[in-house]
Amino acid sequence: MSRTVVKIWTSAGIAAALVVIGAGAAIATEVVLRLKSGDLQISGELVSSDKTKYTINSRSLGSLTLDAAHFDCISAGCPKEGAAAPAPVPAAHAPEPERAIGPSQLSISGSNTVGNLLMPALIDAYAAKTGTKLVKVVSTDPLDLDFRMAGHQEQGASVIALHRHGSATAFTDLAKQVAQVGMSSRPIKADEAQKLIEARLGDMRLPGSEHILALDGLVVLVAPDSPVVSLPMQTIVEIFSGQITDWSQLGLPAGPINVYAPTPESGTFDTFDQLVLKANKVALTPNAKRTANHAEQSDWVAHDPLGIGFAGIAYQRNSKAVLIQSSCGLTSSPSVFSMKTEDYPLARRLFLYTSGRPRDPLAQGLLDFALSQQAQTIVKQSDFIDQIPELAPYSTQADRIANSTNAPAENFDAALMATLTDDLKSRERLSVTFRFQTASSVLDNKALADVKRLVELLKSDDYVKKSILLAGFADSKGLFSVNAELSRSRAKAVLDALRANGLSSTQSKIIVKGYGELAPVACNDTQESLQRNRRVEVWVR
Amino acid sequence: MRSLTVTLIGLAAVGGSEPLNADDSAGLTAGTKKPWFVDPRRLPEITVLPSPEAVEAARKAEEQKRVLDETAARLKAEEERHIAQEAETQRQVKELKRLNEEAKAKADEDRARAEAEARQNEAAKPTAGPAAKSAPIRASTNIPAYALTCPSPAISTEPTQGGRTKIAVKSSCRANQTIEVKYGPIVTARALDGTGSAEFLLDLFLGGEVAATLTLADGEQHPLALPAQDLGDVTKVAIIWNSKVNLDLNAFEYAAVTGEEGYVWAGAPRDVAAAAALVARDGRGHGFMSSTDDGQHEGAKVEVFTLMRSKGQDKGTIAMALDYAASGTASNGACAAGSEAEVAVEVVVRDFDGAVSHENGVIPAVGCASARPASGRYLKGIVPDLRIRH
Repeated sequence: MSRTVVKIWTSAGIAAALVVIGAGAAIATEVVLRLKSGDLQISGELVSSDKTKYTINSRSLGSLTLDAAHFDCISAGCPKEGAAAPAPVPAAHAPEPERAIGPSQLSISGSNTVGNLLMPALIDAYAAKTGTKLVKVVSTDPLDLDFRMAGHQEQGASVIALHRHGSATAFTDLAKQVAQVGMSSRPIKADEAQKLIEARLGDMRLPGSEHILALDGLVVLVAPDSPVVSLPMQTIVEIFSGQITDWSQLGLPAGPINVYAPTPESGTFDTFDQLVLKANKVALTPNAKRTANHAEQSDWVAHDPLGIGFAGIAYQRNSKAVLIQSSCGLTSSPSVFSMKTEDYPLARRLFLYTSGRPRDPLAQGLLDFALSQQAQTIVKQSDFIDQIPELAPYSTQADRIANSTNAPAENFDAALMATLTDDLKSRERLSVTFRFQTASSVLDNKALADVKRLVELLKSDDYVKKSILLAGFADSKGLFSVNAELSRSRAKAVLDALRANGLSSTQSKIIVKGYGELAPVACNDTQESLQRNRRVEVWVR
Repeated sequence: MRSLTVTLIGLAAVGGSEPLNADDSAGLTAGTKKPWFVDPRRLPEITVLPSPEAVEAARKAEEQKRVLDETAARLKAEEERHIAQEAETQRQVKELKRLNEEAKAKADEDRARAEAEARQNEAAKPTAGPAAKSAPIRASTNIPAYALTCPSPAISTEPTQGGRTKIAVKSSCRANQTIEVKYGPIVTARALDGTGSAEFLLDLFLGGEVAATLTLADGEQHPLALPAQDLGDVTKVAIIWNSKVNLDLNAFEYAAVTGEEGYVWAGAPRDVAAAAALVARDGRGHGFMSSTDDGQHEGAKVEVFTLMRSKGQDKGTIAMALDYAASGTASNGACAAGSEAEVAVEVVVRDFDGAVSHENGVIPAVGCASARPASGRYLKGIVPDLRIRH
């Protein structure tokens, strides 16, 4: 006997019979029940179910309660077998077509900065792109979050486990091989890299293992109603090291300064420690209140008029970011452009680390997506700094360039300064800025990726006829004439890299110049600031 | 082509020489006899070819007959199939009703037994609390007689502040009946009062363009228009769940902490007027709980936080969280491997620009009779924070 389906429910139809559900609501999830003898099945809206019965709302027959001993629930919307089940929560929108990625258990560990906002957004977008249904499973530990990714039923669901306990845990979990992808808001340290080499995972500092996901900058935060607008870097050092403990020491109304900071495992703390505290040979005050959750720390600060803390720019939330005055008179605002160029004194990079190219298809797919141009939109939407090149007019850079006139006589060449001003004032600065490995003219990993981005940009219709100036700069150490030549050779190295990556000589008019230590972006007073000044800027007309 | 054969009498030439036998001659009689000189056996058969017109007419006649025959056969087969199908459907309906009655009877028995046991337990343990009543499920397949005479109800809809539509229903012949409102995938039951009236707010967390229908107890349906006056000025965050547990949507406005003015939830829901007053006071967006749910009934539960925007605001974050322990210790099956071992939640966010996003989440169980740890109470992994930008 052929099976007959009694059709009950359509999207346009409404059940003739009603189900009394108290003062609440019911969800219209259609299920198909089949008589165990196999010759009859019925579909309808699942009202409730338990181990003994199904209650459905059928269009033609009204409310039916059917014995689970006689019927099997055979459709996708059926309650899970074994676990007694509430009617499943439906998607309130048309479901995306599902595409299996294949069952995987992917573990991602490390930075809370990356893992709290950006990585979940990337996983969401990747699931949407691949048509995969995603369910987040929260944990009692707010630093852990699982994502169930439903593929084809026979292949099972993949799971991405996200552990966001700090950048340091990226490298310990990779070494223990309990994570396949590490998230970090700072570069890997030499000793961490060595341990991973010893664990036979390769050198994570190589381009195939170290991936720059996004840019970021630390911002010093105060409550929105705090009178503090800007602080000298030296004062920031003294506050966070506990040398200044009351706002009255800064001429403000008296009140104890409450210092907030991330936990020691945090890459955000490590970056601040390196750039601010250790650079000035001090340590964080032991009175600081600490948390691994950057959003929480930011909200603590926002809630405390006497508080001060720091976080990545995406975690400013309800706090106020203060301007930072450097020792040489440069004032840096935490703008998107200053972070894209990495001129901002607390600019940093956000990384993913893998042991070469992942073998797991899910890890591969997610990594490729995270590093794609498409993902840069997600980066921006998550309030981080994307790597998409953008232009800024000369006027936004004029103060920095004029600051060169404050340089000591031995570090200044008036004629070259006039040339620099003439060369730049009719141009716009592109955010792409090339920097080099420490004490070398070898492009660093970000610069290598930027070379490819710039080639693509210069090949585009908007740029193909523009005049491009590669402006090389150096730090202030050494003779001015030597620095001028060194800066020019760095600009030439960038041009060579552009040509090597497919930019033909006919595609753009490219000028190479070196301006020595003029127009510094940092004060040349720490190793970090010296490194920041060794750069090649790109100016466009 | 087929030929036409006729026998011509008296016109044929005599041919052949075979003798006539006696029987043949004896058979000839007056009036019917052939002329003696005619031997029928000698008459030649002459084949005459028909005209093309006659052939075509015959062909058409046969074709028509064939088509008619085939049509009749098909109709007959279809009729037989239809009759068989009707019979099968009737059989299935009968079977389903029987199984339905059987299941209901079994459920009634189980309930009666459970109630008897509960009464016994009650008697044995006089300090125990009252047993929870299970929600009734009404099965109705018959159209009541009143539906044939009761006119359609008066239904009106009216936009209301906070991204909601006020719906008023009046039908005096349907007093105390239950009606349903279906909004997108969500079906909400409402009771008409003793005069057959009901007035309620529909929270437009999916927007105003979603199909909505009002269904009366007798199955009569009425499509609902959903006029909205300020959906462009509000952002709505909704959680939808089925498990019979109490989830609370929590909003922490601008780093507020629990107990402060900026902490909004079902226990401190604010209202649309209070939220609007706060917006006017400090130029920042503020919200209110436009729908709340204690989770203690069957079917879907919905809670909605509605943020009323301040157009001049350029930044700010409202942290959102789910509280799964507002009512205290996990129990009543909402723990460990019980029937509510995992609580599935759908999160819908409708932004003021009309963009609607959906996320699905699961809250795992805690041990029975154990309190959820403080770190796990305000779960922030499922409901996204509301980040206000330029």
